[in-house]
Amino acid sequence: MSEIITFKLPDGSSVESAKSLETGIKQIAGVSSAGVQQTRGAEAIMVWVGLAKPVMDVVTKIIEFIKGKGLTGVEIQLPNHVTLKVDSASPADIERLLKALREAS
Amino acid sequence: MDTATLHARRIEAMRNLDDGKLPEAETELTALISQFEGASDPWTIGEVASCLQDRATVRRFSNRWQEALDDLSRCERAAMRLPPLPRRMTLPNVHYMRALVLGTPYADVYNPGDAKKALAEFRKYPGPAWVADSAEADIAFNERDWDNAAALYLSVAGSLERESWMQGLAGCRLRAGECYVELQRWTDAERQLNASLAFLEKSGPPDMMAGARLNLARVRSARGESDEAWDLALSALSGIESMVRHFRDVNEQQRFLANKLRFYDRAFEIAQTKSGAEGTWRAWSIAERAKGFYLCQLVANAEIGLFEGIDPDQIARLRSLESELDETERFFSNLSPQAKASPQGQSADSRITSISQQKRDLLATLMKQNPRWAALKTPPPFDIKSELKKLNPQWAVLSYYWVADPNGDQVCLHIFWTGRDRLPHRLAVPWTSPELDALDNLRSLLRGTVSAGQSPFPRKLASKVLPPQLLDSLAPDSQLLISPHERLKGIPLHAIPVDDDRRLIQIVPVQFIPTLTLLTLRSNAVPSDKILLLGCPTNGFGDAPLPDVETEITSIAEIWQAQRPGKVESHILPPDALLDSDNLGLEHWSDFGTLQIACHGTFREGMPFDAALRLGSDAVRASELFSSHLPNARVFLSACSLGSQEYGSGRPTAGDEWIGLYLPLFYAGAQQLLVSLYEADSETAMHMMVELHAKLSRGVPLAPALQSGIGAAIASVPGGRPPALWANWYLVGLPN
Repeated sequence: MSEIITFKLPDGSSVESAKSLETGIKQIAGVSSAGVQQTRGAEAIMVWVGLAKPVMDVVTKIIEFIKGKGLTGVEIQLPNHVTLKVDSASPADIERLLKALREAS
Repeated sequence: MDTATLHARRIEAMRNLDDGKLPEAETELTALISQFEGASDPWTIGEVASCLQDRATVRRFSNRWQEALDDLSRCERAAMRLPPLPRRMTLPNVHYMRALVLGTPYADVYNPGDAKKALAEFRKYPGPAWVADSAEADIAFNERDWDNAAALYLSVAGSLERESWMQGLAGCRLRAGECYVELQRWTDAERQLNASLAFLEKSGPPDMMAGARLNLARVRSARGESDEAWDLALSALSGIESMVRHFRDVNEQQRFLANKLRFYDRAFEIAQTKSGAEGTWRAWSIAERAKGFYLCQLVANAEIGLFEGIDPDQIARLRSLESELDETERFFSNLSPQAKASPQGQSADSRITSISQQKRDLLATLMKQNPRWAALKTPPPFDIKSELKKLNPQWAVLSYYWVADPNGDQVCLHIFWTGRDRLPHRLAVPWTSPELDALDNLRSLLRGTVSAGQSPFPRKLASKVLPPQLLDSLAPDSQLLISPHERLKGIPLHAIPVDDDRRLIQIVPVQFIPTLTLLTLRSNAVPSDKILLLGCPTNGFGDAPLPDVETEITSIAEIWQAQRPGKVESHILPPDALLDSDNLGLEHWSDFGTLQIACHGTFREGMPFDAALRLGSDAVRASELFSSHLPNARVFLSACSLGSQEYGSGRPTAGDEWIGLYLPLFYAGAQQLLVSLYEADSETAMHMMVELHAKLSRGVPLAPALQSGIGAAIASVPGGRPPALWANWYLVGLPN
């Protein structure tokens, strides 16, 4: 079973921009599934990503892809309320995030 | 009114207390206090002080501790305006009562140090020593110093007998008997309890009589006389439940119940002393009686309208508050995130809380003032064996009941289940503190927006709630009816992992029921075959548009039109829609047997009866649904968080009630509800609901239809949809 990480898009983002992001992320090797999460309560729009293995290489590629789209203000969310801002994520931050993801699973 | 009449009315009010009618006693005393508190003549002041003291007693028995203390402070101030002699007669009573309130261990104002100080103040006044001794006995009792407490109670009993105060004597003997039960001195216990019960059966009060019977039942149980013990325990429970029914407002009932739940635990222990299947049935029946008490009371009285006989001005006031709340919420919701954090936004937010509280108070008043509301009919007696036999054999039934020891050191989950053969099975599973913490932590994580990666149920706890024997007993066509309790209520148990790849609902259809006692209230009436579909993709509250809603409603409409042409009413509501103006208000909903509502939903913590469906510019709130009529309907709320419940500090409420949309919708007559426990993913909802209705339209029962719906939602994503995105869907109600 794959591990899930979620990318919360900045306020005001549209479902269409989330879908476009989802399509691109699905092309990245190591991503097993992805989808858009829009709730019928909160205004937040998120893209969830299933990782066959939670490894540095794949997460870095996803982050680079998001930055390459010119999106700012995206936040990575893990279960248990662990978060990380994509704009300022360092390799050490990503390593900590992956560790948290492995522990949560 | 002269002082003599005031005195007579106070005495009359306190007769209600003796009869177990606490709300009535309080209402009368409050009226007297309001009318006379400003009086200046000493006799009237003295009577008002007595009224305050009596009301403090009533509130103490209702577990409203701070209010009881406040009354005592007001009584003390009134006493200071009295001449010296009557003042010296009143003040010791205030100190004594204060000691009782502060010395009660389950009170939220518990402070044994201050209780002892109040007792020391009391001892400064002349008077019989037994009064202070009895308070000391209570403190010893609460500290579980049984030998000392028993000796003190019997000493006090001797004094009271000499003074011929028979009710006080009966109370002391009851307490002494209970001490002996704890000391396992059965003969001594029986002697005291029998003597106490002989008086209480003639003169009451009912709560003491129930206490005496229950303790006598424990004695019989210890002697192996399980049938006699069981009869006594049932009689004790009935006595307590008849008192609970006097509370027509759920919050008051919850407070009253706070220290009464031990009655159920004791009866549960007694039930288990019977060996074999009979003992399991008995214990299981007590477990179910301890759950959803208020809900059953409401459903039993469902044909009585909340507003029947109520002052039209009060109804108009409620409607006005509802409009004001809608307007303020619309204003707040349309603010930008920055403006919401500004003073203007904060002010609107506070206003929402304030209007909600006013509404809640008014609703409680209406419930209390309506003499028949939820109090006229008693739910039928509950015979679990016979009720489960009436169920379709496809239903396997699983039930939970938590029991903690008095110190809270050990917590045990009792699991009951029965399969096609309807033989009862039972397992007691001890839980450690870290395991309980993990469960409580899960409850807090599964609220609001839940990350797609969140596990809806920890794998490591799965074996603690799902006995493998139960899973092994399931047939291919089985459906599982689950009656949860306390910590497991509102937890998505249908998403428990059963192996590496599958969750419970993927191997068996699952439905929840608040308590199996609801089975006694099943209606045989045929529901309407008409279907109402309402969707609101863009509302007047400024919420983000939900493009999936229109697809969901139009797809479901096509499905049903093909099966039931002419029976389907479908509406996509624009942002400025007003339900009443469009003839789509709650009165219209009663014509339909199936209702599907897809829109934004809100559930603000602390405002469970203001949980709302946002349809156009209207918010249809839980409180409004109390006055709706949905006979035998199936209600699907394809919206966020409307399956949430009020949990206070994160733990379930005292009487294990389902506080939220469940109470009004079941009261309105709905038989099954499909709701979301937390914020619902819109795309998942659309896939799930469309498939569910496709199955329903072809005659598939509801629980298997939901199973198919969830299966379709999972399969609609290559690689599978994460469980957190579908585990929120919670089917609750009577099995069909």
